[in-house]
Amino acid sequence: MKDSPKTLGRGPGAPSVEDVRSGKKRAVARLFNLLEDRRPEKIRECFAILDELYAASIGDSHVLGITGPPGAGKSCLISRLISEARQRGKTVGVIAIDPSSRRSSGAILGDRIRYEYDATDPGIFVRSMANRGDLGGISDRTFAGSVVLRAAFDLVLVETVGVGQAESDVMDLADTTLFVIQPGSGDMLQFLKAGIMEEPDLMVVNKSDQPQARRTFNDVRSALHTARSDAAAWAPEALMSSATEGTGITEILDEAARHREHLVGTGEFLKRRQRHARHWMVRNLERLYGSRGVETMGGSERLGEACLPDPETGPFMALERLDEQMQIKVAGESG
Amino acid sequence: MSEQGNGAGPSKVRHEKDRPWIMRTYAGYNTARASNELYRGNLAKGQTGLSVAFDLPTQTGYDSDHPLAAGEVGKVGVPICSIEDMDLLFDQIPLNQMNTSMTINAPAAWLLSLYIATAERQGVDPKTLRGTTQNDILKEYLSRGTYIFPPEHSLRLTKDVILYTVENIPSWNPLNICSYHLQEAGATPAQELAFSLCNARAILDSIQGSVDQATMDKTFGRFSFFVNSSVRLVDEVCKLRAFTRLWNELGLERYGVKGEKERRFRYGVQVNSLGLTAQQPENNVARIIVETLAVILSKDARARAVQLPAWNEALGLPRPWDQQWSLRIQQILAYESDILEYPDIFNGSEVIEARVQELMEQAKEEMARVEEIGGAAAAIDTGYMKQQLVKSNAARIAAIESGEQIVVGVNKYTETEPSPLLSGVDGGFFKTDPDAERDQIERLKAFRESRDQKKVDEALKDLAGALEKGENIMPVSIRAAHAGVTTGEWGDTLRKVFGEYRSPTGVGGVSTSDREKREQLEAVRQRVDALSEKLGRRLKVLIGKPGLDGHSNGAEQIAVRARDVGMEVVYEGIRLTPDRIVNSAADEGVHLIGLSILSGSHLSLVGEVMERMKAAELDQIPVVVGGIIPDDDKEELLRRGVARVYTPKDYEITQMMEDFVKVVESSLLSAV
Repeated sequence: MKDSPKTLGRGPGAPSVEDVRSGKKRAVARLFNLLEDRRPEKIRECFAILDELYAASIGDSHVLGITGPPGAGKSCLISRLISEARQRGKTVGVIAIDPSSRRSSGAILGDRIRYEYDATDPGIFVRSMANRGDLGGISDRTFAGSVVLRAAFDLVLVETVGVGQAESDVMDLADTTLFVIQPGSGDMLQFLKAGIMEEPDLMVVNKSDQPQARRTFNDVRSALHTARSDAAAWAPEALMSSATEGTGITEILDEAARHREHLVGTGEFLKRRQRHARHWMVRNLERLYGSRGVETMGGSERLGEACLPDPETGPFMALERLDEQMQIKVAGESG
Repeated sequence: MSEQGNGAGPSKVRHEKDRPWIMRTYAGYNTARASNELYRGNLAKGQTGLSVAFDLPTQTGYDSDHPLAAGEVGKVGVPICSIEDMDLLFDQIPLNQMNTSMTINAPAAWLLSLYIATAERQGVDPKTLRGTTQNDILKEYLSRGTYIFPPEHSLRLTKDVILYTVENIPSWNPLNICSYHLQEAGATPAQELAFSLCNARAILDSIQGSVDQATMDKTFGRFSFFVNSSVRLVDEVCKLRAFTRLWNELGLERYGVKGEKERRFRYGVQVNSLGLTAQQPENNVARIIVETLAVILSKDARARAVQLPAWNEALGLPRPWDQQWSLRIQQILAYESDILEYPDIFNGSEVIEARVQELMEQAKEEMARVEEIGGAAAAIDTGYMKQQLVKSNAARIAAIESGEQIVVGVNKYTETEPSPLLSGVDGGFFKTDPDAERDQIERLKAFRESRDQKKVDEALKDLAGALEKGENIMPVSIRAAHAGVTTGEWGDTLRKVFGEYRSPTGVGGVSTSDREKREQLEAVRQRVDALSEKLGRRLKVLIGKPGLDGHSNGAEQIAVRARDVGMEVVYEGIRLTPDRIVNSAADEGVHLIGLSILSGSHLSLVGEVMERMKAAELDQIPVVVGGIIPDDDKEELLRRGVARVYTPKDYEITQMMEDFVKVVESSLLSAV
C-alpha cells in the first residue's frame, strides 16, 4: 500500500491498531504523521485510534523520560540504552524532542544523529519532535506520541532538554523519569535541595570518566536523601555512567526496571498513567479555554475524575467531547 | 651590491635571489599506477615536491572493497590499501630525493608507516626522508569530517607520530596544523589564527608533560602549519605576519623553547578554494594569483611550500593541463618576478603593523575563550568551535546573497561570452576512470591471497597489543606494513579498541545571519507556513551526507536556513549509509530528502538511495541532491527520478528553500 501525504485517513491507507500494536514501524510512523496533523478531521480520526491504543496497552511497556541540562550527554546515553535494551531482547521506541524556533516555527531535530544503531533493525523506532506546536491547536503531541510508542514497543525512551518546560515536561508522560547531569553541575543540586526542582525517579551522573565525577555523585546522593519527603514512597537512586565508555548502562536499565516493579506493586503504575492522562486533558482544555473556562466546566479535578474514571479510559476523545460541549456553550451564550 | 635583476640595474637593496618555496600540486586519482604517472609528469614539468591526495576510503581507514567505500574508490584521491599500492605510487621516484606531503589525518600513522616501509624496500634509510603528514585530527572534527576515533584517542595517535619522527626522521614534519580548512569552513582571519593555534596548543600540551626540554624544543621546531590565503590580500599578509609573532610567543612563553630557529613559523599553503567560482571559472586564475602573492610577498612570513588549486576547482577534478597552468603561475611568480630578491618589504609599514596588532589581539581573545572552555578538544566536543565557524560562514553566505559582498561573475558582472575553456569534449575538467574502482578491488583481493596470512595475523595481534599497552603505534605499524596488512585491517583493529565517533554539528546554536535578505526570507517563510497548513503538519525535511565525504559546511548552512524559514529539519550529518537515510526518512515521516555529496560519488550513492526508497515503497518522497555534479551527471540523476540537482552555481540558499517548497507541492499533486 503506497503511502501518501494525502491518503492518511481512516481509509485504505490508514494505520491499523493491530499493526501499531505489533510494532510495525511503518504503521507507527504513519500514526505519528497523523497525530501531528492539525486538520480537524484528522484530529478526530487520530484521537479515536489513540484511545483504542491507550486502552489496549494500559498495563504494557515502560516509558522512560530522560531529561537534564544540555551537555550532559543524554543522546549518547540513550544510544547506549537502546543497544542494551536490544541485547535484552526488548523492542525500543524513542522520541527525541528539540526546541522549535520562536521566530520561524522551524526546528533542527538533531538528537537522533547521536544514536548509533543498525538501520535495518525492525525493533528500533526513532522519531524526532519539535516541542512547540505551531498554528495553535489542541494536542500536546508528545504525550500522544508516548501513548503510541508504549502501545507498540517494550521500552519507550523520551529525550528532552531541561527541567520542567511546559510542553515537553517528561514528568507528565513518563512512568520513570531519569535526570542526567554531568560532573560539576552544582546548580542542579541546589535546586534539588531547595525543592525547586522536582525529584526525578533516578538521577544519573554521566561522564563518570571525568575527575569530578565521584564528588558530584556523592553530592547528588546526599541531595536526594535530603529531599526525600515520604518515607514509604520510592527512594530515588543516584547512578554513575559513562556513555562514551559504555559503563553504568546495565545498572540504569536494571534500576528503571526496579522502579517499574515498585510502581506496579504499589498500584502506582496505573494511577500514575491515569494522572498523566487527566493532566493532559485538563492542560489542553486550559490552553483552549483558559482557567476560567475549566472552572466553568467543573474544575480540573472533577473533570478528570468524571471523564476518565477508569485507568483504561483514554483522554483523547474525552477532550474532543469536552471541547465540543464548550463550543456549544460558548456559542449559546454569545447568541 | 647586487648586479643581477634582469636589466633593472645595480642595487644595494636587492640581494641574491632566495631559493623559491617548494612547488606542489595536490594530486592523486584512480589508482596508484595512474597517480604515479601523473606525479612523474608533474615532476618533469618543474614541480619540486609531491602532495598526495588519498581517496576517502583510505582517509577513513577502509579498504577499497568495504561497503562504505562503494562509489568512492579513487575519486578524490589515490586508493592505498597496502604496501603494494604505496610501492606503485612511488615507482621510479627515489624517496631519498623527494619531498612528499601527504594529506592524511586519522590514519596518518599508517600511511607514514607504509611510506617508511616503501623507502626501506627501495633501500633508502628512513632517517633521510623529507616530507609531511598532515596529521591534524582536531580540524577534521571542525571541517573536513574525515575523522575516525574520538578526540582523546586521535590525539594519542598524533602524539605517537610526532614523537617517533622527532627521534627517527629528523627532517620530517610530523604534522601540519591546519588553518586552511577553518577558512574554507568560514573562519575569519582572527578565528583562523586562534583556532589553529589552540589546536597546536592542545597537542603541545599533551606532549609537554612526557618529554624533556630538549625534546620539547625539537618537537616544537617540527610543528608546521598548513595555511589558507584568501583574495583579501592585505588581511592575509597581516594574518601571516601575526602567525609568526604569535607562534614565536607561544614557543617562548608557554613551552620555554630557547632556540630562535625552533620558534620560527613554518607553513605550507593551499590558496582559498571556497571562493573559486563555477560561474566564469576563468576568473579564478586572477583570484589564485592574488592569493599566492599574499603568501610570498612578505619575506619574514613567506610560505615554505605552495600548492595551488586549478581554475576549474568548482567544476571537478583538474586535468594535467589544469594543474600545469597553476604550476606555471608559481613558476612565473618565483622566477620572473623580483619578489624573491628583496628583504621583507612590509617591515616599517604603519598600516600593516596596526592591522597585525589588531588581529593578534582578536586572536588572543578568542584563544582565551577556548582556554576557558578547557582547551581545543573540549571546545570541539561541546560544539563551541564548530558553532563559531558555522556562524561566520552563515554571515559570509548572507553577505554574498544580499550582494553586500561582491563576487565577480556570481552576484555582479554576471554577463558572459560563451567560454572556449568549457566547450571541449570533456566539459573542462577531469573525469575519473569508471573501471578504476573495479580494478583496484580485483588487485586488492589478489594481494590478500598472495600474502603470508600467518604473518598478517601475527602483525595484527601485535598491533592490538601495542594499542592496549599504550606503546607507540609506529614501530608495530611499520612491521605490519611489511607484513602486508591492509589499510582496512589497520583501521578495523583501531576501531575495535578506540570506538568510532560522531562529532557535534554546530548547527543547533546558529541562525541565519541578520545580513540575509529579510523580505525574501519572510516571503519563503510564509510559503512554508501555507504549505504546512495544507499538509496539516510542519514541512519536514531530512538533510544528510551519504558516503564518506565529510565536508558538511554546505549541508549545515542549508539545515540552518531551512529551520529559519520554518521547516523541521532532521539533520543526520555525515557518513550515512543508504539504509540509514531510508530508515530515518521513513520513521520521521519527512516530506523531502536532501543529500549532499561533494566527492564525485553521487551517481552510485544516490542510485542506491533511490533503489532502496523504491523497495520500501517510499519513492513518493522527493529527493534533491547537491554537490559537485557535472552537467551530464545532473541529467542522469534527473532521469533516475531525483527532483532537483544543485551545484555550486546555486549559491542562493533562500532560493533553494523556496524550491524545496515547490518540490514538495508538486509531489502532492502527483501523489496517488
